[in-house]
Amino acid sequence: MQPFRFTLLSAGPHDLPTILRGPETGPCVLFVPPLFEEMNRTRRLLADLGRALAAEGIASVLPDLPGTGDAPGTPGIAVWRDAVAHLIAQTRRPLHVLAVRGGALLTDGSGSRGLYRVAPAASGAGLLREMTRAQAIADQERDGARVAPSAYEGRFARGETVALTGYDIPAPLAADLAALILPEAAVPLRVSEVEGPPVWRQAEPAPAPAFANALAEDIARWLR
Amino acid sequence: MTADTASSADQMRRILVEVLGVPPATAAGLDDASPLFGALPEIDSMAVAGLLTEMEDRFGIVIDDDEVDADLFATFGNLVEFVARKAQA
Repeated sequence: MQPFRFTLLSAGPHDLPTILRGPETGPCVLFVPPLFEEMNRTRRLLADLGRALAAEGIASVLPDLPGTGDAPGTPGIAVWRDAVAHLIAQTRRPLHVLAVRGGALLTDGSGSRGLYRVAPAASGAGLLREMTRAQAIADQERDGARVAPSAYEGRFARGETVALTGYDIPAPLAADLAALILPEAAVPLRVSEVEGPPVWRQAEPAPAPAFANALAEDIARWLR
Repeated sequence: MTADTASSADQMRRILVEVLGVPPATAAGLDDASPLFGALPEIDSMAVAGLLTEMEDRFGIVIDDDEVDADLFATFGNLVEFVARKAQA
């Protein structure tokens, strides 16, 4: 198994903890991970994908976006978009971008050679809706009384910070997320048609090495 | 059980396996009275919310926010009955 390297990559105002895999020269893929809890559920898949790409001779870069994982900073849509743009701009090797789920909302691929989307979220509003629904169900299970998902929207409207699926979401972040739609790609786009389990939906994501390998093969073919 | 609910049940089993990673043998053994949420480790509140989205896509139904209720996921029978009812509406 190829080792991974850990580094801090400068992305504007923040240095982001980043995992590097694969050769130090040649083609490289920047992973833009899903948002919030979906990111945690996808971590294993992205690690497997990084290893599979390395086996194809392709490097990968997996950053923690500002305010997520071990990265400093305040989470926010604009902050994340800026960080991704910085990471693309400062890379001095042929770079493609791989964006998963909500990560696809953060970049149009500008500055890279191509954009590969895996199960891209159509909108931030859809993600926010799933989070309020999940929280409503969790609250109902805890308190016994049914909660309308719209109750959280009311709290956002009053400017409150609301904990959704374990993440404190300030009202401005909720508003920015709700306004986010999948951008038109600014570079050659490929939307993955590789079949595999949607680990980002799974409470206990099962390892999916076959999915990761198939994605890596598809990406490698696309890059050649 | 009507033919509609029987096919809904089979589709629901397939979604639980494909989307949430419920072991196929577990899904095959689910009957109307089988508890889901709180009983299967593969089903937490986020998985439930994701499952609602997948159900909307796969069954071509629209689930309103005021229909979102943890009781839907209390048992497999509740879930299948809900889907069969929505599909007819």
